[in-house]
Amino acid sequence: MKPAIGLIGLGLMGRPMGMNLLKAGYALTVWNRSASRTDELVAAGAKLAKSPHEAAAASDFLLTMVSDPPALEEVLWGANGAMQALKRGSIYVDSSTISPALARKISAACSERGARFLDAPVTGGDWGAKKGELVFMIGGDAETLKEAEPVLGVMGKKWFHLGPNGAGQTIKLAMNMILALQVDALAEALALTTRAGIQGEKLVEVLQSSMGRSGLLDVKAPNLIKGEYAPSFPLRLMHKDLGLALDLANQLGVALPATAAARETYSYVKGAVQEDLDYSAVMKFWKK
Amino acid sequence: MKIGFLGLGDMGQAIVPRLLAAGHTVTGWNRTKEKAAPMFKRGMLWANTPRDVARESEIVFSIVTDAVAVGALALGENGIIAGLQKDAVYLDMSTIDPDSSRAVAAEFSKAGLTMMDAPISGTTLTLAKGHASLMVGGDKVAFERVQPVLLAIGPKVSYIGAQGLAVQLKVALNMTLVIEVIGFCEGIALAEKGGVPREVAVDAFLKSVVASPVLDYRAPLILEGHISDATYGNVNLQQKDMLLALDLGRKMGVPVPLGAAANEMLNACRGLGLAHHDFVAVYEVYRCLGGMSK
Repeated sequence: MKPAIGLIGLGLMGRPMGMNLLKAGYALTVWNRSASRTDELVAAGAKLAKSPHEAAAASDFLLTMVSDPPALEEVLWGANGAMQALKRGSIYVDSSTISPALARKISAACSERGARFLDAPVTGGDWGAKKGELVFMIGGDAETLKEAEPVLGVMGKKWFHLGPNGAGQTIKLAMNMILALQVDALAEALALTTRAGIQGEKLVEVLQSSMGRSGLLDVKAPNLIKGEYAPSFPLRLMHKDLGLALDLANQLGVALPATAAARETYSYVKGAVQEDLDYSAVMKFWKK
Repeated sequence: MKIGFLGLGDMGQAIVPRLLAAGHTVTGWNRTKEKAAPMFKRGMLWANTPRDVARESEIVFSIVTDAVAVGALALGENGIIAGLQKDAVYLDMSTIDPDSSRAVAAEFSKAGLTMMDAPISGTTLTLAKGHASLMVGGDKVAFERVQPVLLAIGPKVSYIGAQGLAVQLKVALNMTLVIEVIGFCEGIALAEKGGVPREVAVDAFLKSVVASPVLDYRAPLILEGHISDATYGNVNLQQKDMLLALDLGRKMGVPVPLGAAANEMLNACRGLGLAHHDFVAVYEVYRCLGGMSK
């Protein structure tokens, strides 16, 4: 018997995740802060909940995918919030990127309600979401993960069990730090070589034949060279994630000089640019 | 004048005696009464709630660690707002974020009451020497009325502008202070690693154009064996203010790369177990990173 699924958060990632769940035959109830985003899924067969509370009440398996910790706290504990309606015995998976501390707080609240929680942030972008090829980073207990696997398998191709609640978020933040720094490093190197009179394509060609090659640079280098930054992962979200990583480091007392410096560079671009661009737009620190 | 004083930690206990010495009556309150004991011996009176303090006072001061603490004593049925008289003035001297300060002040405004932000720059040492400086934001007329009392606390009293601007300035100032002291440590480490004896390097810096009031009293702490001589502002305390600065930079869209780098050096201090020393102990981080530690 397939669990009834509730999905809250129908942004760039939530919408394709929802579509894949519907295509796999799950009964899906959805809610989103701006109702217009629900149209596509409702047209495809999802039921529309009037509030996060209603979505949770209709679910054996709740999934949230929202932009940041305040948005998630509002969904769970705000007016008509989901936490109060979470069913005993249900599973709640949050795939937003939040702080490990908030993940642990949610886990404790779920325990009180007899529900089970996994922090399960993802990587793979909207493209991975559409193809059902997301990679999940899981924090929580093994039994809950086992039970959640069929649902995860509809949306993703791989998952890693990284430890107790909070571990998934910790790894996600560390991973996004590396992505942000890598793209920032490429941007700096391109700024340097371009100013020295060498075409960006040449640097990238050499990089791709060297130990410096990476899948990430394959995807992002063309953006930096062409100056086109269609959002795959928005800069404002990468900036937010860098902040979460630095917050975690502050809590733990770990110095992250490069991450702190990079965050200021991303801050500048976030403030200077009106449009919602991909995080590779960090190149705009050097190039209009 | 009849003055109310809330928050009797290190700073509060350095300020209250100056007000008493200037002839004012001071009624105080602290979250834990026992900590305020030294002030009773000096003649400070006690009231059981912030509201009761405010009822007795023409001017009310508070100086506490953060915005949550300010809110707790300023607002609510036992808060300052419940007892403050119409022609009295409430000055919060805490270093908190401008938006939080403005939010509390807005509640006072709604009630027809006057609140100002009046952060104080200085340590218990500078206060005792009569060198502290105050920055004030809020109603100009109210400022002129309280100015004589502020001058009893420190000789340098500046009117900054609208309410909230004084804490904005203080957060920026504290960020610069930390960058300056860490920069000093970086320079001394560079000199010492190259063979200049530490005392000689420190002495030369203090005689040069990079000398400053803060380096005058902090630099001697990095001399061998002196780090525990004084703790003017420990790592955790300075980091609290630095995080306010980074947060403001992010909110307002002003990159603060040196502030960001300085904060990571404070993290490094904590990683080395130096959190409770004066933050100039960051010098130990440089010695460690430069391979100069024993």
